[in-house]
Amino acid sequence: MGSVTPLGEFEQLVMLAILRLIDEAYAVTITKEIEERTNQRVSVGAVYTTLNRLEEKGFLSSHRGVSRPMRGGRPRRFYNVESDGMEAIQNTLAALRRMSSGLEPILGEL
Amino acid sequence: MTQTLPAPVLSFLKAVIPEIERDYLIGDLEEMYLKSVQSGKSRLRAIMWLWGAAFSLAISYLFSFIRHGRAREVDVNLAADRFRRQSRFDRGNDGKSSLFDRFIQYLQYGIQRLRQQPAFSAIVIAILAVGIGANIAIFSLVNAVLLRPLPYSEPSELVSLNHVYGGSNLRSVVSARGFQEYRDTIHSFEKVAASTGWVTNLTGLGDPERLFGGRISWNYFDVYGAEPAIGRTFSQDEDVFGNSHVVILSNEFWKNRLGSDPDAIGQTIQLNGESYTIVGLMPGGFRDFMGTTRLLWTPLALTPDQLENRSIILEFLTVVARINDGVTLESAQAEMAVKSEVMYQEITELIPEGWMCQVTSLTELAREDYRSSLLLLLAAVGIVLALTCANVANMLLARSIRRRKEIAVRSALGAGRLRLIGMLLTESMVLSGLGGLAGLFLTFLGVEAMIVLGPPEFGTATIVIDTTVLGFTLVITLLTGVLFGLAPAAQVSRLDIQGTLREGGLSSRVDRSGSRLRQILVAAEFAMALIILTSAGLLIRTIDSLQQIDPGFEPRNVLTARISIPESRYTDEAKITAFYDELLAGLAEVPNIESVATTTQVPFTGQGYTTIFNVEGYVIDDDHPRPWGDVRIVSPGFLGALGLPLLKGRFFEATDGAESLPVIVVDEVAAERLWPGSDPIGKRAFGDPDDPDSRWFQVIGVVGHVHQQNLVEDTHLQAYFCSRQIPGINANMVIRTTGDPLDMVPALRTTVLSIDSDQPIAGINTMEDLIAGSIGDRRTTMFLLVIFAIIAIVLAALGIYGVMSQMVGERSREIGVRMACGASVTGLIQMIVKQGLKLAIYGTAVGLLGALLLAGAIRSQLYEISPFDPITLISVTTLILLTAVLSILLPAIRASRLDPLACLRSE
Repeated sequence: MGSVTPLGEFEQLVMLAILRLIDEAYAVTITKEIEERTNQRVSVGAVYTTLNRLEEKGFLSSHRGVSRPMRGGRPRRFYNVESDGMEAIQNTLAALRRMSSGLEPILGEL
Repeated sequence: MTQTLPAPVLSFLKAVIPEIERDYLIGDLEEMYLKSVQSGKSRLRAIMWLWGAAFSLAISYLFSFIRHGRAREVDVNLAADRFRRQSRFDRGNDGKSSLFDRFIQYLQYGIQRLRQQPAFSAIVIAILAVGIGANIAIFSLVNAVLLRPLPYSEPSELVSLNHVYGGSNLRSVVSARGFQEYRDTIHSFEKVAASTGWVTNLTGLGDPERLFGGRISWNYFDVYGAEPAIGRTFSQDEDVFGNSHVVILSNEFWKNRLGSDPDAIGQTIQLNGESYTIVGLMPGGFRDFMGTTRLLWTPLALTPDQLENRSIILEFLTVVARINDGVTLESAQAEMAVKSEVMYQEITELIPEGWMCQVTSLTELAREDYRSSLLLLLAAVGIVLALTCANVANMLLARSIRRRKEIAVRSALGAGRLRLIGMLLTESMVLSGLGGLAGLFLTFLGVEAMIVLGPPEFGTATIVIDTTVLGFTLVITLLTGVLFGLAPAAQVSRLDIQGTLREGGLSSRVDRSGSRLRQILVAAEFAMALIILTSAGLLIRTIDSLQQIDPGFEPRNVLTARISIPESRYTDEAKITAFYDELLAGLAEVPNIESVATTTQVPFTGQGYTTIFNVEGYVIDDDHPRPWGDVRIVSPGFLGALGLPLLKGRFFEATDGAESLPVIVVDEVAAERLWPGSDPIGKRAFGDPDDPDSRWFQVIGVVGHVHQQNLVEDTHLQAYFCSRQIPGINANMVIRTTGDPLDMVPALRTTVLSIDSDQPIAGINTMEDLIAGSIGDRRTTMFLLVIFAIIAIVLAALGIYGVMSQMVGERSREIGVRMACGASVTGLIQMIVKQGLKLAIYGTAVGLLGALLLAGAIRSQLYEISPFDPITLISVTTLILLTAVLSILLPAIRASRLDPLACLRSE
């Protein structure tokens, strides 16, 4: 196991969303991605809190995007997964896989 | 695209989201909101979603603010962004930031500074907490005792009536005859009520018990404006001698003795062996204006005898009146003065010269005992707070000198002076705010401690942290923040920016003015510490001289207890005498009891009975006023039990009885006053000069004078009657033991119960405790002052230590040169100590002057000690200067260990 702290469930979702969105990951798209894929309503506050927390841990970095006319010319903050973050999500998923391996007959294909 | 978010949401977000994150967030929300509207959702649902999101954001930022003390800042872009905003903020022309935003920014700045120096901040907050906390605690006491109105309806209309005797400080309660007269004839009063304590034996409800009840005139509760919770108060025809077997219960009695029985009204209880019908129940917490609580009340029912003219100065009633609407206190006083004069003229032979009835505002009366000591304490904590401010200002000054460069840079970037001062003041406000909060917490502990340690009378008005106290806390906290923040902020306005930047922030002219300010502050700290220390010292000396006073008897190893046998069972004098004879004989046989006696009044318990002394052959004229004084009825063993010296003749003996010659013993004061220059033995007193057949009491002995009420003022004449000649149902036991008096309590109990199994005992105390209790007030004041003095001297020591350490640091080059030139270590230490001591001496001198000027404030708390008491002043000054030398020695020794080469290279 890596030395980094394990990720919480919602943290995993946010990290995975950012990885999926590649260069287009900012709060709006992240929220939408999670909502669409998990079929759950997501609180905006929770998304921001989680993004801030992950950034503080060094798992994410953010940068200021170019202003766009859409959204009244306000800038966006885009997120990237850092190497520590990558390690953390890999560890978490690996642990999940190890725990579930052999349980396919009960759980169905993951 | 035009603005799409509804204005209220936008303003809300602007108010709650830190500016640095605001644009992104609002942008994101706008985008989501727009999408949801475009996707065909109803506008209402979209707006509801938007508000939900806004609130959830507000909450998450609130938490992250609490957790981190600031909003996050990470990205370089963001940092640059922040820098631009910060310099805009410094310049003060950031049009976009809201008021709340600016406040948050100031706050963030302050908190950030705090977090950068956690140890420094913690020390400052701790010092402030002590200073502010002490103030809140004393203020809450002042608030409870002096400021809050008494808990009665229209308390300003209530007055107390007292008999006073010209030329003495004695303020007595009122006689039944007086009460009747004032109630019926003074027009200024709407209603007048009287009450007196009534100790009664309760039987029939578990163990027999002695209770403190009250006897009250029928309108007593009405005058206070109090109403019963259940039932009724007394009717006028129940307040009549022989028709008074009704009782009103306190909530406490009802709860503890009757188990809150809802059907209590109409039931009967046994008091002194007689049945009393319960008619009413008072709500919990009712106390009279002196703070006395009673367990039950029965009607006063004055006897015809008590209402006779000759009973005019048999004073035993506490009288409270309510002044008529529109009548002032002054006019009531004037009417009463006239009445007193008329009564004096009418029954002049019974009333001593200078006697009158005084009308005092109840509020004044309830407070006057504590006013001077509380104001003294308030002044002392005020000084402690000023000291705290000086100390913290000093610490901040020392730091602001180190922060010169930061401030110069900010200033160069365009921060106006006002803005910088505002920033520094906010920083001190944050400190004082946290100090105030911590102080409030300390106060909760302090108030608890005060209730436990303080005199019981402080409980009269229960101390609570109410809005007044919280308001005071807020004001004092803000004031403190401004006070100690001012000095460093003032420095800023004199900062030489270019000079500071050029010199790399190492030195500038501000330096010198800054150190001068710090030196003045330190000297002021010493002045203030000296004032508090002097007050504490004077009180310690006062307590000491009070303890030196001879109470007139030997208080060690004496136990006292009260007994009251019920009239209903002890119907004649023979039965009463038999009970006490048996009790005294029984106790005398208990091992470790040396002697035992009964008395009607025990010294220092507040018990007292004063009356006119009729002396055979005594001529009353201008030089010889009508004598009056204390009388008490004691058993023959009293002399030995109390340890009272016999000066002449003999004391009572077993042979003095109902059938033998009526005898009295007087004290030395009475002997001197009544029979100056002649032998009092054989003289007669306490008879009726107009009745040739009157029974006179012959003086058989003279004993020493006993302090009856307190150690300080007490010069009443005293006369003793023999209990075998005038038996009474109430008595106090005085028991002299060979060991710890309290060990005798079980023996006392067994002996009493073996004679009468229904007989309770109360008021068990040692004589030493009673005397200590009589100076309890001053002891509490002294205790608190000593605590404040310790705080003061520690702060002053810290202050001078800080200033001298800094001075040594600043002058390390000079010190290096001196050492290189061969200055000796002791010479160097001497030089530094001398410089520091100069500050302490200046401060001490000013403090001495202040202590002398403030002497009047403390005079009323002192006894036989002058406010200019040289012993106190000298020892306090010595203590202060010694503390100063010790605190200076540390930095001085450090200076002497400096490496001269390193010092020279340092610049």
